[in-house]
Amino acid sequence: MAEDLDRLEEILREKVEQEKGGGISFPKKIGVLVYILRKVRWFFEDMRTFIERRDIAHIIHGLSLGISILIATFAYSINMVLGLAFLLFSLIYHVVSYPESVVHLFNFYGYIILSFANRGSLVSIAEPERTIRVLRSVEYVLGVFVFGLIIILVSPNVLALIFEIVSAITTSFAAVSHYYLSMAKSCWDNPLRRISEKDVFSWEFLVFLGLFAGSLANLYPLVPQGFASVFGWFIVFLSYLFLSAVMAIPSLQAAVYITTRWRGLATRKMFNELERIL
Amino acid sequence: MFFTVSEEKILVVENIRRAWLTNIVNTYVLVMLLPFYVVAKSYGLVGTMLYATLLVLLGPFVVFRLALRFTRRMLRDLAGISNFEGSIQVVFMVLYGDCAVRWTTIYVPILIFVSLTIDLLPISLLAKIFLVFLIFFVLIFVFTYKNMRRVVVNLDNLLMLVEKNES
Repeated sequence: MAEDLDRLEEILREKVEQEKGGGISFPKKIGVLVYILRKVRWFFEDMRTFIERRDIAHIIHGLSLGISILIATFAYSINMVLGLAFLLFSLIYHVVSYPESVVHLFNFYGYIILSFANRGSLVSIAEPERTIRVLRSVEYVLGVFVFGLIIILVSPNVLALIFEIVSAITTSFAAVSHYYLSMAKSCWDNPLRRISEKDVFSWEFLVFLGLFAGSLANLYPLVPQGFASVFGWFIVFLSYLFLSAVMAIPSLQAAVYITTRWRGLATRKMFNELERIL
Repeated sequence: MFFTVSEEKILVVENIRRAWLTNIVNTYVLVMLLPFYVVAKSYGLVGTMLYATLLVLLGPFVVFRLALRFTRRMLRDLAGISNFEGSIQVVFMVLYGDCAVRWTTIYVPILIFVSLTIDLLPISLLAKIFLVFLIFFVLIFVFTYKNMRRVVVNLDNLLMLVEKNES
């Protein structure tokens, strides 16, 4: 048996020696072009994995639509028909590839703006699930219209002007709503969370304030020459919107805290009663 | 027939009403003021006086009608709450109504003054926009901080009262 095994080993060794490279296979050498193409493919695969993450998919879709509209605006300044055709194509393709966009827009304009018209405030108390749902819609809308704020640097045309006006107004509403809803979500997540004046030093507040001030600054050149007082009215109106939403957050936190505490006390009372009976 | 209404209930209803009025009346009054800004520039003193007269004559009727409509809406909202006691919506409105009167809106006329002053400066439009952005950013930040501080102190006092009553 041992002799047979030795013989087999000898045969195998001979076979291996006959093989190219002594039986050891090295990875094939690839060209620079193939290497670059592979790197690009891996990069796009990573990108696809990142984009398909459920928690940010709506933001990515919103940003892609915003960029598309921005490109259409640039194209419009070169060729009107080309710009409009690209805009139409982008909108149709976006709605077909991401049907949830309609729901997001409906949530934003139907829930946030309509609620503002009905109650004079962006503030509304909703259960955590609804808060998260509307927050996602607001993030999507911010993603679409945030690019409209840089249109101010583009040479003005009709499409750019429309996009700029809609973006400035929508972004100011969306920025305030986003801050309020994200704070509301954080209050629901942790009823014991304490809100203080130091919260204005958070990066969330600074980003939201930057967007709000950016929207106001965008409206500034849109007001016709000599009508600076109308811009003053915009400031008053949007500042009120801002103040009523931001100042409502501590009250919301206190309300969540008190009702949670009351529920806790009621539960303790109920358990005490049960213990007494049993 | 006499109803006994406790002071606490009056305070709750009053604060809820204040929360509603703060939001709705302020928003719609601001909308009504918009024509002033346009009329004053386009039609001068005569136009402004005419709009002011119209507001004085029709304003009370509009306000009365709005007040009735909003009160009905507030009652409908409150009627929709099944468990009134301990409802987060009611507690929120009571606290919000109590805090709303403590905000200061002094920064709004300052912002308007600043924007009008910047308009007069002999600098390029881009520089003006940058200035508007920077000044608004800083002013809104400072005033939010001050307002927030006032509201938080007020809420802390209210929470202390609630805890004292419970114990």
